[in-house]
Amino acid sequence: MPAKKWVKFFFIVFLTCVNSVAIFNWRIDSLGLFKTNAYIGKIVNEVTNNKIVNLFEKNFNYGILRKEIIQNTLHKVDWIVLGSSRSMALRKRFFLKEADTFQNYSIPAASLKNYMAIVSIFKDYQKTLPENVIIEIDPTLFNTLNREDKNRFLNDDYIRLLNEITGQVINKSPFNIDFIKKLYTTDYLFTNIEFLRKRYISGFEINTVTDTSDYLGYLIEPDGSRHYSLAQKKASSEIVERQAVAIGKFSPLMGGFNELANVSMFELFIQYLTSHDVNVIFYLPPYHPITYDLFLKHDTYKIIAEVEKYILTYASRNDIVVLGSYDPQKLHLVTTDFVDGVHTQASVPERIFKELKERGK
Amino acid sequence: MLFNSYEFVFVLLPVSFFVYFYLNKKKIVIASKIWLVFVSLFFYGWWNIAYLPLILISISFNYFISQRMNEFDGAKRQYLSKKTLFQIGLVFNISLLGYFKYMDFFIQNINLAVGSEIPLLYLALPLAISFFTLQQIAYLVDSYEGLVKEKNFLNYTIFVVFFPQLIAGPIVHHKEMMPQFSGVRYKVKNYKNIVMGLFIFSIGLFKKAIIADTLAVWATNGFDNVETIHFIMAWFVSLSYTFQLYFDFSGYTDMAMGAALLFNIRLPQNFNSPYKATGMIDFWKRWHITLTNFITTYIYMPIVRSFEKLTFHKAMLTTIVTFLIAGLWHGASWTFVVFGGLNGVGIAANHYWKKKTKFKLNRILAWFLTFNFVNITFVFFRAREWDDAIKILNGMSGRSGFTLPGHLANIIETKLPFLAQYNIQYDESIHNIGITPFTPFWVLFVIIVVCYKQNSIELMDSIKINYHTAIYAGFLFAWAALSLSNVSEFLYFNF
Repeated sequence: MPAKKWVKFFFIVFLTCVNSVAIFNWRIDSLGLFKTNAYIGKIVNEVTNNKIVNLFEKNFNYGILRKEIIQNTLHKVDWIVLGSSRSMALRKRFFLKEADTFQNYSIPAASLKNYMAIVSIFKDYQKTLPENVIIEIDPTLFNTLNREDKNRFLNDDYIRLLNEITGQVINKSPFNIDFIKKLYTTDYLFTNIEFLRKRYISGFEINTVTDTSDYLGYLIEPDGSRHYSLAQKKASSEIVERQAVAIGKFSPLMGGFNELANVSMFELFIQYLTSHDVNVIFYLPPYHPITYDLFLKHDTYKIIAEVEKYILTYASRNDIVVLGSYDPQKLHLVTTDFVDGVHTQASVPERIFKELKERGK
Repeated sequence: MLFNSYEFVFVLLPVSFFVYFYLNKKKIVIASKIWLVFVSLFFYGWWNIAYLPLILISISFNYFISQRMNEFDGAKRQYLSKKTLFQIGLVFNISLLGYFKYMDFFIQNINLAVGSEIPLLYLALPLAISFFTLQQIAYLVDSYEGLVKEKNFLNYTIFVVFFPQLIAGPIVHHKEMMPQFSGVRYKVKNYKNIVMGLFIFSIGLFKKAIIADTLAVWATNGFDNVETIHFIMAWFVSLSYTFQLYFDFSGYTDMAMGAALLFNIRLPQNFNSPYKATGMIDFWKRWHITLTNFITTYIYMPIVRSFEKLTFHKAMLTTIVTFLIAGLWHGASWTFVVFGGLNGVGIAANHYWKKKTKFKLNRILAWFLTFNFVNITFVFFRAREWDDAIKILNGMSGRSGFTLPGHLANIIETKLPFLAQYNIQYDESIHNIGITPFTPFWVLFVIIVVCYKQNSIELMDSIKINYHTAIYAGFLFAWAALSLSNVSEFLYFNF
């Protein structure tokens, strides 16, 4: 074989492989990254029609889901939650009346940029800001190292609000290179293969509607809140404590985080909300007692105490209500209140937000 | 710019290739060389343009010194002797490296020793300074000894900045590079070289993007969280790093060789299946070969030559000192010095064994001892601090306890009750550093690849130009390219 022909054939093989992967990823698009697919479309459709949905896959793009729920919500929403996975169990019925309107827009591993993007999308579609915003303060909100690269799909929405807040003009990218890159990745290829395996070989049905919250898998409620799987809800104390120890010893999101970043942007964002008469409430989700103690003893993770101190000072200065605390002792929490070291059972936000209910807010 | 980035693979490399051969085809040779210099400086400046003047000053000064030294052969009178000029050049290079790489380390140690509080300078390490300085020191020495003469500044600049080898080697010598740039047959596209270049570049990219970066997750998580490391985790972490370092650096070298071959330049081999070594002497003949050659020629030999009467013990002491210096070259930290010292002692012990005993170790046992010794030395190489290294080693020795994944608790307690006396703990921390049930298979896979398979140079040299190799290389290249969205730096960029 002549060497020149080898070179041509090499590139034919290369181009065939990468383009096949891209076409496959586009076609299957199990997480709904490129188009409203059956997966996210069905969740949005059922949730906005007041149904509880059994999630076929728990790790999909929540950013896109939240965006589409906002775009498909036709009524006014007065209460919204901006948070991470740690506030996904916060439900409307814990502290609001039936007539109140509420949506939990939490996104796992959310960054401050994601919070701003959600507000931006909300404003775009509702033509106003929400009356009340509950903002979950996870300490890693102030860690730019670990969360910046997640959920980049909402970047243009973030830039829109950033421009409004700062008065700058940062141009949005003409086309989203992250989307294109995602098409050409083995990561997404394997996710899609797993999706097909579950659906066609293991026979899972995608996103079925259910009427019970005691379902085996993850559930999403019409108010946007999420239920853990039954196994997690009923996990033994031994398992939960083991996980609490493990996360206390090693928490990837907390790594490389010795001082608070993002503070000025955070304050600008809160100031923007309050200056538009939005009632802001901070929520500090508690840690498991074992995890909390381990964090405080850890050289880097002990920064959580500094974050709480900063939030309390800032809130008091700006007359903002703070609910919860990272310290589980303050709330008399024990192992059975937790799913693992950082995620609480739904009963915990229910208890914490009772205070708000009692205040009549 | 990283070799494993879209910008390099799909823009800079092909554009530089086509323009270079276009200019050569039009017989504008000078322009083609200027183009190569421009591309190389662009490649370098992409990282941080602020360092461009530094490398240019270094090149200009070294060229100036070498020219002045060369003039001695022309019997011109000079104010400074050849030796003085050489010493000035040496001091300049060592000072440059010393200032940017070792100044804070020096200040820290002074502060520690005398209790002073001299503020640190927090200087950023200019990219590739260790490599281009070493390469130019070698050139000055060769120039001083009359072994090389380069009268063309453009040629000298290409020798230093040629982008495939600029950032992390292989460390090349003027005499092995420049004849290649001047030969006429090197100025036309050679499809055999292009085949070999694409083949080894694909292997290198795959080694980096797929193998090294997968291992990096476990190694990084483990070394960043040494407080709680225990037996199984410590072994996974240390082995992951040992293999990561090899696949990362040899992957980089393969890509460098591949990129250079596209331009008809053959770079020297830097790795020759080092983890197949059955002794420390053997290991350093296979690991970072161009560095080994450099320290042998330019550090070890001059020291040895300075002895009036060389004895075995003096030679061994010189080996240890040479490796201490080589360790420090890798980074401004005592852990690197320990790494170098351990390797020096290892080599001295290996020489001692060969000289003083007639007993020949079983080959597998020799490999096992060598590999584990290397694995331990790499713990010091990777650890941020001395304490971290000790914690990992304590974990590997079992002194930090035995912890197993929680789901094994029932199995162990019911099926293997006698293990209860060893105080085994159960938690999920092993999963938190990213180790899954799949991890042991990965580690096993890389052990098989490094111990039983031909290395990339052997594969390249024996390549058959047929559909099978084109499919193999094209597939590796595609798979690696599809993983480029998670780019990570090469480990040797830090040195």
